[in-house]
Amino acid sequence: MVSSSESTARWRWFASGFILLHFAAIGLSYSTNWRRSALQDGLLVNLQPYLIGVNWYQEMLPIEWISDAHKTKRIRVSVQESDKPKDWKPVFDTTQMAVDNARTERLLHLLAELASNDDTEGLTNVLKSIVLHLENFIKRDNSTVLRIRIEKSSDPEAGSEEESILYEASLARFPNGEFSFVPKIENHRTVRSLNSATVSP
Amino acid sequence: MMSRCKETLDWWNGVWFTPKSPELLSMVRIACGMIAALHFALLLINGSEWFGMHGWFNTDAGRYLIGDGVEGTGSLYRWSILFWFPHSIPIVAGVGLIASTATMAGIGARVSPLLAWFCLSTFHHRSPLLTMVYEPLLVAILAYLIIDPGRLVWTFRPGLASGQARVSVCIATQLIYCHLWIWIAFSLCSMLANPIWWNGDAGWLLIQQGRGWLRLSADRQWLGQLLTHSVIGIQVAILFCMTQSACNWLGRWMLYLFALSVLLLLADWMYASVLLAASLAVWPVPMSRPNTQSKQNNASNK
Repeated sequence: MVSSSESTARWRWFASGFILLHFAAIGLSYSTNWRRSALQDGLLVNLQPYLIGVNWYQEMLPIEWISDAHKTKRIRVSVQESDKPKDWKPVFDTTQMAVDNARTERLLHLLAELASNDDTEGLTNVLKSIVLHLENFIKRDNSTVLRIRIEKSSDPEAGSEEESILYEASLARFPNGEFSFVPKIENHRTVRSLNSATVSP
Repeated sequence: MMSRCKETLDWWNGVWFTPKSPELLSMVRIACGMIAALHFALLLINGSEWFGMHGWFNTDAGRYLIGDGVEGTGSLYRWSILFWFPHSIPIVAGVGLIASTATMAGIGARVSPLLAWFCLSTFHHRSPLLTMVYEPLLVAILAYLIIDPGRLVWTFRPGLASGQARVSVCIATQLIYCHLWIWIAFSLCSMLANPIWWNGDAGWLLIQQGRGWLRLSADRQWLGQLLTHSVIGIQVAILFCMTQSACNWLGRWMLYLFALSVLLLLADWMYASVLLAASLAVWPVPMSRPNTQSKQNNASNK
């Protein structure tokens, strides 16, 4: 028969082991936010059921207040709509946020990072979600989105604002109501006008 | 050698397994319950607008960004019910609000923090990339409060309503203590990994972006740089004071300054509140701390 002191000691060993492993796993998870090795990566993948399942997996933890990627002064998402096709109407703007500032800002930086990293699939997924929200949740006058773009102005420390368009696309609509994005081709990527001799009739 | 091992073992047992009065932990529970209730109240208002069927960040976008179907991303373990039932957002937020309020009021034993943790995690798993700074810390404290929620007002288990010292209180308090230490350590390290925290630009950039409460004209750049270095110094001081019971008063004031800098540079009052709430497990508010509790806490921290 196991005495109560023995069972207490056993319980303490078990609890101590768990505490040490728990903080080792959290330390590993949090530390990978700024640097990681292949060993850390492998350990993280193996610990995913525990770390993700109980919510300790904090990759891209927003623990840092500002990073190099956030050195931008302003990020703006704007759209051109069918009722006023000439005007760019701002949807999100880091300088004009009133409600839910932190979440909006996270979304804008996420969009900017997706655009900068050329993750077109990720970018179109999020932009599609924004367009659907505008057309189904906010719009009441049946106007549709024609074009969407993400802009940022950077280099605030130099005192000069340099506006740049990170992404711009037109919406191609299909008869079933679906749509896709057709990115605007940058000037330097535009194909030179074709020789008339090579153009098929 | 053996005596040193025994000393270490005794110290470890003293830190983690000494019965503690639940009064101190109750303060953490009340503060965190209040913040979680506010968080869910906000989600009840605008959660559907963000994560609903036609939200700003709908389920398709959410699934893509958690790496759904891609091996190695761990998306299998993201169990948010909001992926399958996007219309249930007001229900989840409402249950979370009730559970957090019950946690704050000290009703419902361990079930209340467990439910609040579940609802908070549900939103977290739905969109981990749109998580705000305070959420991972708040969700951790709620998880530790499941082990022991402190002294309760009403519960089916009379043991949790008594003010009797318990080992589970000690474990929960120390877990919050250690988690806060790790949190601040990694916050500091991730800042130091970025040159803009060394050359003083970080604070100035944040002021220029207008994110915080502080507004400065261009000729006051030195003040922004001073703030940047202060934020680093304050975190170093907090980490040091958390390990030295003799520096309790200094540590508490450093944490107040840290919370103030969060407000001045980020205007994130929820993050500042969670930091203050978590710090109650380390440095309780002096007027509500009985002397015996203070000594016990200091001894175990040592």
